[in-house]
Amino acid sequence: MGHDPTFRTPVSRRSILQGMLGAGGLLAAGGSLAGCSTSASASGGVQLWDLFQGADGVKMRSMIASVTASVSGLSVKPVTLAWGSPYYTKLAMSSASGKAPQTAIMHLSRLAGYAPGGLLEPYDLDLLAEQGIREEDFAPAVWKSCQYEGELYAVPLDTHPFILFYNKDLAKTAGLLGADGNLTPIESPDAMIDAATRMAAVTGAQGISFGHVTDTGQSWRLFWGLYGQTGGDYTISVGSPASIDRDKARDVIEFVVRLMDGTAMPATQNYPGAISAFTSGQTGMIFSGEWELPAFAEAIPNLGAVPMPTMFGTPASYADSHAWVLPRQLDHDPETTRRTYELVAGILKQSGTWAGAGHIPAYAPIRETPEYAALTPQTEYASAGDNPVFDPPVWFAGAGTEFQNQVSQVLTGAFTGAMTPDAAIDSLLSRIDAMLLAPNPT
Amino acid sequence: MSSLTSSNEAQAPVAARGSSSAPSGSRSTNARARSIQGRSGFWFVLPFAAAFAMFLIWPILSGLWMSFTNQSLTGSGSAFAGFDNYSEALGDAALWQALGNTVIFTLLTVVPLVVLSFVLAYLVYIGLPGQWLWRLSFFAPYLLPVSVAVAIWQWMFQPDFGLFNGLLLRAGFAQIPFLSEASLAMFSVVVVTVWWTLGFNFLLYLSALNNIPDHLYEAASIDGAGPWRRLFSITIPMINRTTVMIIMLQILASLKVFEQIFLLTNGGPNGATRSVLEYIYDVGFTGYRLGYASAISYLFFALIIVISIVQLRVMNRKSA
Amino acid sequence: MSSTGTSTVTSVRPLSKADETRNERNKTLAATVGKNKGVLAVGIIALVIAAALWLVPLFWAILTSLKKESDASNADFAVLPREGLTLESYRAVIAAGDVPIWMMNSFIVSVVVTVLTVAISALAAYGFSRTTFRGRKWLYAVTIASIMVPGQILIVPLFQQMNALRLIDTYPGIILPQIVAPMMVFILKNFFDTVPIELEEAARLDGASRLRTFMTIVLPLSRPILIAVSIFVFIGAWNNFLWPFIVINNPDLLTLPVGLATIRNAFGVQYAQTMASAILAALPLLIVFMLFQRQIVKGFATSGLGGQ
Repeated sequence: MGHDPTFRTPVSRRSILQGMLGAGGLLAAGGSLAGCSTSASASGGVQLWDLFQGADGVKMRSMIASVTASVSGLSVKPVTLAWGSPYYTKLAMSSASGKAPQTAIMHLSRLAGYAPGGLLEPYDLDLLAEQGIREEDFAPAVWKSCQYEGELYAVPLDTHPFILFYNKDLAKTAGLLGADGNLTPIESPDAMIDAATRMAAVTGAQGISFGHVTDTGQSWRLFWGLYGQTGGDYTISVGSPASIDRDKARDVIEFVVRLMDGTAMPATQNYPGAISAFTSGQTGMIFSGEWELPAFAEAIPNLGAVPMPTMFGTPASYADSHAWVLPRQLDHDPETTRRTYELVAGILKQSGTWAGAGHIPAYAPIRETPEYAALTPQTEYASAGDNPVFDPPVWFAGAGTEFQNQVSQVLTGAFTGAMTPDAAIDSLLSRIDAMLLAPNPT
Repeated sequence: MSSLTSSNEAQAPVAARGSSSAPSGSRSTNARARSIQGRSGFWFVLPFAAAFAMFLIWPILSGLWMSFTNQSLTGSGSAFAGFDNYSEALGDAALWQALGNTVIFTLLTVVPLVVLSFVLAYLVYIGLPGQWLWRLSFFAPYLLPVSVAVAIWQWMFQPDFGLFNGLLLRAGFAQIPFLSEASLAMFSVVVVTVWWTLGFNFLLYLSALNNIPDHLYEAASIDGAGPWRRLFSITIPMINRTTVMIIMLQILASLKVFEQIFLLTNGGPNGATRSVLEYIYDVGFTGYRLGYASAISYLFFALIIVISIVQLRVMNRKSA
Repeated sequence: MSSTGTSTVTSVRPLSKADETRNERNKTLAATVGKNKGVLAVGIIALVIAAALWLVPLFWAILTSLKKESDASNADFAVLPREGLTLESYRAVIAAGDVPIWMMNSFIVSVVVTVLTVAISALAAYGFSRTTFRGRKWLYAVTIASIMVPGQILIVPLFQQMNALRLIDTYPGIILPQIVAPMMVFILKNFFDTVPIELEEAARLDGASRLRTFMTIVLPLSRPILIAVSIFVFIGAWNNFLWPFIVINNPDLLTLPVGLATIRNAFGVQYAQTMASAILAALPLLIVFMLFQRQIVKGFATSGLGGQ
């Protein structure tokens, strides 16, 4: 990884001496001192944290490289940390100490746990506009999710929905393709089970993969997206008991249980198992986040994809969004701030590259380019970005949270028949109630 | 060892109780010297005392205060909240689960880390050729940073092309989900811990064994005692004190387990391997609740003190 | 925890067996096992198996680090390299530059922690051992009692304290909380208690100051125990994970154990490179151990735990 050389010598003799003196001074005086901070701003660079590895990481690093090449005088130090709870813990700790990176990636579903506590700083809309980033360039639903108390706290990079991938060659053999060579729309639970069963007859194993056992989010993604299609109401907010439309939730769970008959869909696949079943042709379809697209495309020459089939009335796909946020800083240097906005805007304008990893660019001008229109199967599910179902906007929800882990465990239990749908719904509500009653630490 | 070393270093060496005492008379001369040498000694102690007050006593007190507030990582909630955190902790199922895991981990690690380290030290002590090699083999893992030990084992536990599952597949067996199944994950954590930290106890035993005077064995062989008799009537009784000490230190070290679990399984699957310390970290830093995390810390501290006192009692009775 | 323990530097026998003569070894052999060939054979076999088990993970890591990346993560599992051995992953890791920086940080932190810890602990231990001042007994009692405090439970208040002092993400922030080592004060005081006082008295009568006496007479006599304590503190600081993990977010200041565990390779998991980083991280202490095996083993004995 070729980094800017200015970052390669973080330790000067001076800082060592400062450290020694600091230690001595503290011991002698018991007072405080300003330690030797080596923030990137001192060297005119912008620190950036993300959680992208593999195909995502490769794309993000190349986007950053393009931005630094095109914006004169901009230097960036990107750091990649482990996805999920380790990343968000470190981000919160660095924000709390005011020595955070200048910008960082955050799942929009996590914003409710960060913005209220003052761990983030709001964007200056004028400065954004100077860089050519305006509200009208984004889908209203996504833009709204980036706000808290009227201030903008995040700039969305993408929407990444949970969708249906399929192997076009196998689907053709199973007679599931329409005249246009794409999947015939699936418009009811029974149609889905029928399609998967026909697919199983072709593969000789099962029809559709879904990896959820011991996973900390998959069951929730499937359930919450389909529940969004039912149009069911829900109340999940601090101050009142959780409620959910029991009949509609039961319909969704019962459908998944029926689908997991061992032929249409295996009941106990874990995440990597589901992926290898799909890429090796043991199944011809998979419910998956679109972030797996690069891996699928590599293994399957004729890959198709559609938004989550509308089986319960309203088109909707579970989704989350990667967005750029500004962690709290102790000292504000206008120059560094401007550089940070340049970087964020620059990356947004590079998101055509990002689409290559499967994500739907949030920045509309990119979605309208001919380059994006030429991407398949990306364009086949791009409409999923228009009706996303996000996590409930409550402080404990979001990607990689204990909330997602707990509801996923319950739902997995219901899907595999370890508990009845009604028992699962009761368990969901009681666990969510416990979280709603827990002290809100933000 | 500093007050903040990792669990395997936390077992600092302790001077043996009642071991060969100082040359007789030195105590009284030292006392005399003290009276001769006046009162400037405070300056000797001052640097340590200042650091001690600042980085040990003050955090203990401020943490105690914090445990009575709802202090958040984000800076809010520093008002006095009474015993709310403590009463919440006592009814917190996740905390009880973490405590249960910690106790199970302690039971599963203390036995091999005491028995196996003695057996291996004894085998080396017998005097087979290649001393330095044996010593290095068992002690080397102890010198690895925890992230190195965990990285190596994670790589061996990998599904599909890790060492174990790769060999299983080659031999036509099913794979073993070492880290993704609750009971297996705890077992895997224990195996890694034993491999990584055994060297410390091993070296302690080895130096204790080397201190056994030869003439005891000579007397035994004149009496015609065989190797087993010598082991059970001379070797084991002679290192009894070391064994007691190792058991004590090991129990405390195992109770304080955090990092290898955090790095290997992150407490999963579904909390099945999460230890108390990891729960403190999760509550305080992942969940922002510094006040509640402090309360759990002090409950845990109280438990450790109780366990230590019980151990001291038992030990004193043994050596009496 | 009060005890009248003393460390036995005037140890009964030389402890390093590395240079023992064959005679000496045969003597132990004769003393413990006698002429029983069967027991001896079982012992040898057990030892070889155990040592092999203990070394397998290290060998596997080294072997992986010498493979090509495509070979290491080949789904078709094989123990031996199919594409030859290469130092490619080591080159990649060193070129990426993270591991050398972390190593440097670890080195700086560990050396400073060791020097400061040993210095203030030795001074305090001497003060407790040799002088009188108001509150000495009480202060020593508190120091000894604090050995019982598991440092790990202080991460939350320490984080807040360092945050208030603006020391998060600084070297002093990593170092300072680590230099308080009551256990080392205890070990050193026990040692100083055994040093005959007459030498110091003579120097004092010649008009040397207390500090001078301590530096020129007591410290040189204490070399073995100082080396032992330094080794323990250094290993502890070098391998410390929890506190640096809490106090450092800036990738440029991470120490080796924390950097390896928290920073990810954006280009995906590279097994050969991961193992190469691990081996590089393990090397410094392993080399130190090989060079100073005798002193380290002695240190274990000198500290008194293994003593009789």
